[in-house]
Amino acid sequence: MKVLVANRGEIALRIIKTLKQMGLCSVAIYSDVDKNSPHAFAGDEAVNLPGRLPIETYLDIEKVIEAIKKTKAQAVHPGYGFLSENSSFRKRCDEEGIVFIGPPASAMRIMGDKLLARQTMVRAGVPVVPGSLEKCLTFEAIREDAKRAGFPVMLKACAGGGGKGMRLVKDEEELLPAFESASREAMSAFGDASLYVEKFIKNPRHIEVQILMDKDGEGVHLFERECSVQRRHQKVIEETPATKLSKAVRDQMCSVALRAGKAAGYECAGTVEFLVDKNENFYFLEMNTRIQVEHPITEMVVGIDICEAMIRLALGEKMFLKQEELSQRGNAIECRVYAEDPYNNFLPSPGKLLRYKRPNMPFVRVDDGVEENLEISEFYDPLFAKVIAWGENREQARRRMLCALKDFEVVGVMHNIPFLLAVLEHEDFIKGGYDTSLVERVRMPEEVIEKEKIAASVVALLQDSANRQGAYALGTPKTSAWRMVGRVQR
Amino acid sequence: MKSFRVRTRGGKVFEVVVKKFSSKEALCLVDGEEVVIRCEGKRLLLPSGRVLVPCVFKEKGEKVVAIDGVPLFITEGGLSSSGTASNKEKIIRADMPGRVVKVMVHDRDEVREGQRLLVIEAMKMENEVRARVSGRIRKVFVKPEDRIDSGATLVEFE
Repeated sequence: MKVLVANRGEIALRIIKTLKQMGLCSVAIYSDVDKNSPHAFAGDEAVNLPGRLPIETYLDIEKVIEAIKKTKAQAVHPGYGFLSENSSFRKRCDEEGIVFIGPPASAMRIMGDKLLARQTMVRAGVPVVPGSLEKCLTFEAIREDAKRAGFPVMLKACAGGGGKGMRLVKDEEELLPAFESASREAMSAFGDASLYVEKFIKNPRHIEVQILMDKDGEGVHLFERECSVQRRHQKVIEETPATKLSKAVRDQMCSVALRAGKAAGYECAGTVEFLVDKNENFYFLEMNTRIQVEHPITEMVVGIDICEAMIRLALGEKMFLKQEELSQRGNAIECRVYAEDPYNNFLPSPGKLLRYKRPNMPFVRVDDGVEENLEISEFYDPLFAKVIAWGENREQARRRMLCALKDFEVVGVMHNIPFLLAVLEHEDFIKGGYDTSLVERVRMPEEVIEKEKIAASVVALLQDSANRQGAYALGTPKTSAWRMVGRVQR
Repeated sequence: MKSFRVRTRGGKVFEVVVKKFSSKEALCLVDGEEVVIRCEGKRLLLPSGRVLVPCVFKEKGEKVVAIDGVPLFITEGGLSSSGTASNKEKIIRADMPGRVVKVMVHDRDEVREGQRLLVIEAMKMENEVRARVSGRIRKVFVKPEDRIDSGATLVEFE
């Protein structure tokens, strides 16, 4: 059995590792920019997709299909992002007789079309957030739905996910610029500019449920993940179990998630996302029909390799898990490490990793896709590492996470670790039961840096320039002997 | 005796005067406080007992030294030589490489502080560039679809 991993970075590496553990052959694909990336070397085979931009490479259906056929892979794992929620890709795989490790095209179409999803959920008796039930192609349509739902509203990309093409609009005046910018971003990220409106629920909690289903619709849930630490609608820290959520509501959310999956004819692994308000009312937000970035925290507390489960279910195995045998043990937290500058409005900070040392300690897992001396490219997502810490209780997991983050050494790009530390140390995070407004209250702490380190930095700089000048003064040859040989021959 | 200005990520500034420097030892004054750093090749021994191997590099023409992965930005000369700030504010540069998506202003436009000037896309996210001061624009150097490098001049004020 040979599986092509149609992705890059940390998730491609993570999937390849499970394939290895299962004794299956793996094929990686890589763009020109990624020719030195670790994922390009991790598989048993690798295929270059010429080009640099995502649309020329990881998003190019025909190039990926060609790579699968060339390597005679029987299955494809799409990871997250790129082609993972693209039903045309799934259909092309079906036409070519390639096993797509994910849900059927029909379920992807329902959930990928956020509005069709809302309609389907309403029919299945799953509570949804008030707003559009039809897609808005024009500004006029957006304005009408926004007025009906009542400001403030959220604009969302119909094909969206991951916070891209999403805008909060407080009043009618802000609507036009938000509409223009969100549809451009949606076009660039998903190739579809259409948007829809949802009433903005102030300071909700964001809690999701992981489900697994076989081809007969037999399913289990792997409990919830709390994802309320978000910045610009992008998750930053996730944890499981959710804190301060009543057992009754948690159980209800888990069973509603399975009902949502069944209503969509779902197969394989998926995640049903809910917004939860202060009174623990919950609303279906969307379903992600792929593996999630934050899946490892569930793996840590439930003890199941979600990636492996996906592969087994996609290959037609009957549901091999029993709900009553599943339970959560301890707590797990995930921090996403992004190449962005928390001291400068979180601007993306691509660049070369001059030094890169990852934490390696008990009960800490690091999923990353980079190595020292590699470039973090402006062409792809700024997420380059995920740190997952497990503890018998939440406080132990939190302390292990703090320790792991402090052990990271990342030089050459700006990164959000100082911000992650600030969140983990915030009293509301420590208390638990926080909502999506937490991040707004987190202030970057005043940097504490000892004077001896300041002195050391200057000494290091002086040493560096002395070494360079010293080399010239001593007459050390600047050109190597090899180049001299070349010169003689010429 | 040489003096330096060390800036942290968060914008805190220290003044460092190096009084003695040899291959074995350096004597520095950090904001007036004496600190002795011992050197063993690239390993630096700090008064507290910590041993460090800093990483020296250049970014956007600025010298950077990373200590435990924390970047410190170093310029030669004391605090007094920083009088060019107002000049710096006149030119808005790109903080990152990317692609210009939209330009909302023209040459000779009058803009308010905080007004949106242009939108740049990098790493799949759109970022707005806003005016840091109110004033008149002398020249806009980019147009939509331009690919820009980090540090590229975007807009110059009069």
